[in-house]
Amino acid sequence: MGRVAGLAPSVYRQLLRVALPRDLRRRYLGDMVRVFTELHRDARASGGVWAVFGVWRRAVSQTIGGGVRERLRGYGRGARGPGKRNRAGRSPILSHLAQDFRFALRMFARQPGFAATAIGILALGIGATTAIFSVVDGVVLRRLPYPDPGRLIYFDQGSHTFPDYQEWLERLGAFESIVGVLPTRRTMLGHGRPKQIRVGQVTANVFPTFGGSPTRGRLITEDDTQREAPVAVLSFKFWTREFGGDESIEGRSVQLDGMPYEIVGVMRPGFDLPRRFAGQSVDVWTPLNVRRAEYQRRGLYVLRVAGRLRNDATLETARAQMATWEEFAAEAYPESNVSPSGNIRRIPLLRLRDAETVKVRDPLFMLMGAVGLMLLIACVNVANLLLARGADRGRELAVRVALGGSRGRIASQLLTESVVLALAGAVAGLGVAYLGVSALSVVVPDNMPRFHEVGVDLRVLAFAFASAIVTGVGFGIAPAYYASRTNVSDMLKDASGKSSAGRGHVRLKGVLVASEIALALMLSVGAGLLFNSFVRLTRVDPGFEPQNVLAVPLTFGRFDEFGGTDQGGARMRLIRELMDRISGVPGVQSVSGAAVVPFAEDGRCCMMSTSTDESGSDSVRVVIHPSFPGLFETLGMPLVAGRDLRASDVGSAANPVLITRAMAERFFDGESPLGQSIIVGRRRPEAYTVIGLVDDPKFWSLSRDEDFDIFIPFDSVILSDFPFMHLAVRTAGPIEGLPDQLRETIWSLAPDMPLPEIFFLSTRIDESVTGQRLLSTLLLVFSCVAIVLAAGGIYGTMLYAVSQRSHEFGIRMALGADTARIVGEVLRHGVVLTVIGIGFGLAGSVALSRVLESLVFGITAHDIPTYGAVIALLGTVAVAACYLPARKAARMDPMETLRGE
Amino acid sequence: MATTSPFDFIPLNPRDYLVLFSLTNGERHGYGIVKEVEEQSGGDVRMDPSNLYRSLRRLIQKGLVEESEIRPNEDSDERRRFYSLTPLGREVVELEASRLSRLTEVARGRHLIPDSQGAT
Repeated sequence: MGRVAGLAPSVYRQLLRVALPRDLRRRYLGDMVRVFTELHRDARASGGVWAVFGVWRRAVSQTIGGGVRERLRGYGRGARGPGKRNRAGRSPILSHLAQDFRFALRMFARQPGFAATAIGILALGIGATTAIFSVVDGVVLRRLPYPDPGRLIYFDQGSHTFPDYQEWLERLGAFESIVGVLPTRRTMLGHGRPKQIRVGQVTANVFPTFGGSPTRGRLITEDDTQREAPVAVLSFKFWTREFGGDESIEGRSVQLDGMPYEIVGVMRPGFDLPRRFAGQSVDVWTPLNVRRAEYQRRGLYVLRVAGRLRNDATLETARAQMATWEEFAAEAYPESNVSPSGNIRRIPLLRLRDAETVKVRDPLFMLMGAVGLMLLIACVNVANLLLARGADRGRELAVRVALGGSRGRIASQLLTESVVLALAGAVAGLGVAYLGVSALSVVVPDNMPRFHEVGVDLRVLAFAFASAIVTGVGFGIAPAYYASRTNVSDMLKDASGKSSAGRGHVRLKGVLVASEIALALMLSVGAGLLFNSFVRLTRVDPGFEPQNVLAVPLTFGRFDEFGGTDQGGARMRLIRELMDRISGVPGVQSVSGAAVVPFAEDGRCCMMSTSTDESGSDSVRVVIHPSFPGLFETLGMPLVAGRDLRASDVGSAANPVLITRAMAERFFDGESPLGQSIIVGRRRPEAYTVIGLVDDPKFWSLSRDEDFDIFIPFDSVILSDFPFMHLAVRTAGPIEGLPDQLRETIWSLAPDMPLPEIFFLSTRIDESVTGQRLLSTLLLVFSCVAIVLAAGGIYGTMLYAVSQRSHEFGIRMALGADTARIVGEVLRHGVVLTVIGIGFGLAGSVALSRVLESLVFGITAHDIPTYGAVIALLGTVAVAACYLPARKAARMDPMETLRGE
Repeated sequence: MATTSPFDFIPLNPRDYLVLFSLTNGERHGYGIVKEVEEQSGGDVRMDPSNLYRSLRRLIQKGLVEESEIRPNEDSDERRRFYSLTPLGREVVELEASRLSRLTEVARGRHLIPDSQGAT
């Protein structure tokens, strides 16, 4: 207690010393500290932390704010009295600034090489930082484009059931509104080929909740949803793209999956639901009746839910209410709300903003940190340049001091110069940032949320200039401090006109070089780890051979037309016929099909269920893949044991199934699983006989751990339940025009079938790692720049040190000193700095490795080989950068140097 | 220099007014002024000492406040300065108070603020 209380006054005293003009300080410093001490004591006694914080906040803001205002008004000029202005009518501080500014420009004009180098380095640093900031700002920091977005809450856990939704409406009082969207794809007819469009079936309260309003006509109303009126609202983009912005659009109708919908309005431009919530961007909005009889099954997880909190409710209240409901639902509906292992189904409520960006936040912040490090290195580099230049200008500064220039004025002159440099760097950096963002927009993966909101705008401009000022002061302050402390008489006596680099000066340069190395090391270790992870990721065996396999997504009727009269049988006949025709297309080697192929689009999935071993002692969640014969051969998925599915397996009483190796190990413990049974399903468990074993395929992502996959015959019953499936086609090679040929073949049999993109599996796998590729490439680029900057810094410093000592070296060599010894001496200095830098860099990297832990794959964040490689690289570069100046020192002609003096 | 009229100082900046006002009940030292200002303003204005003394210096320069120095006991090195209003300072604070009160009346006349009975 006592220690802290004693500390506060002395900290405050220091603050006053820095911030206040001298005359005020001289008279009142003691009194101020005394009053502060009493206020501080009061605050501690009364309110605790916040009161103390308030005292400090006021101290800092009022002391500094007041000090600045006072100086601007010219008070700082001591006894001359308030408000004294110079002839130009400006206050002294402003006229000084203008003078310093002009002088700075003249200085740079006289040394264009120096100025260009410094500005170039800063442009790179500020530009890269600004580019990444604009992404972070647009994606993570900026408010979501909805009214009062802080109260929007996302119901996590993917999709929900309609009965759950209705219960939430009644029980979660913390919400002003709870809204639902059922994202579907429908086939639109009437515009040339059938086209698949993205439909958002929504509850009417979606629009007020998210601030949607019509630009023409009206939106969907409560009445529409209750009546299930066949009305549609077009998105602005869809209206302009598909209907050319037709002015007489209202009243026209579109065919969606064969049903006519009357167009009643067009949404305002730019409105879309959050991607995480709606799952897709929406072309057409239609009403959703949550009370429809077919929807009332528990187990139909299709509805996406979000809500808006009441004004007076907090997220905590909402969570508490949800927890109460979870307990209730676990009691009331154990089948759907308690997992086989006894866990209750939980619905995490997240702020929408967090939910939207949760996946990209870590990598983005990490990039921000990386460019921040790079900017720091750039600053250190420029500080180093300025320091060297300050030493060269020692004579000039000494003369100014001798003629009565105050040291404060000289320091402020130097600081102005560095801020001017930084501002010029920021202007050039904005160009770099603009190019950077344009380049990023080409390579950023499509699934990056909110990237379309990214751009160089006012906020970003403000950021760039703020960072310029901060860096300008940051890298200028040490050189200015040293330059203003030059010893006048020594300097004027020294014939060389250079400052005879004081000890502190040399030490400072050493610190700068070592910190550059440390920062570059930290950045490079991060880059190295992520690059290493990326390479490992691309080498992961997906468990099949994706080259030359085309996937054709087929879409049947709409999701709410399940069942019907032998729909499954009709579909089955169509598929068989299709496979037959496609296998006849030249270049096609084999064709098969399954509900879903690896790396298929999000949202097209399969059946999930629970599988139990025969004894009933162990159960796991499984992904059930209804498949056609020949699937494994077509995908190149090795069959480890047993046999493939056959056409005759359909409807077989034995219920044949193929399982993966992971599942076999889990259930049969090394024994051959062939002929054994597993139980699938909980509500209506059925026994299946294992007929084959396949390797563990990666179905969704290369980095994700294997699911337990099982493969069963695709029969007409299952087919009638599935709104989609995929054909897999293995080709002899990347044959030009084959996708078009496949499309025509399919349309010749099923003219109403919408056909979204036909894709190569290998392309999709590549795309699945775009994010990691981008992250590791960017980091690699940043770290290369950092290493080059650091090497330049070392080189410059050593060159400077050598030139400072050229006189000494000249004399020593004239006296017969060994050149090897001189090289060794210079080199040793550099190596010591490098080792110190590497030491601190290592400590920093280890401290930061926790941040990386979630981003690396296949290695740990302490991967020794990566660390080793980076240290070796950086060490070599640093020593090389030291060696060149050392050799230059040794090659100096003694006579030349001495004469030069 | 001709005698200074209190009207030359009107309007006062709000902080100076509060400092002057805090001295109307007699002399105070720095801490006392901070506390009084805080109380008078209902906790809205909390001054950091640096701001207080800036304000005091200004008011002393203008001749509205004078300072006296006393030592609590003979041996102590500790000095405390006390501040009090000059006659001019008292005139100025009274003038400013009546100016503010006129402004308040106008505002009330336009129903910008509730009547004094309503506002407890």
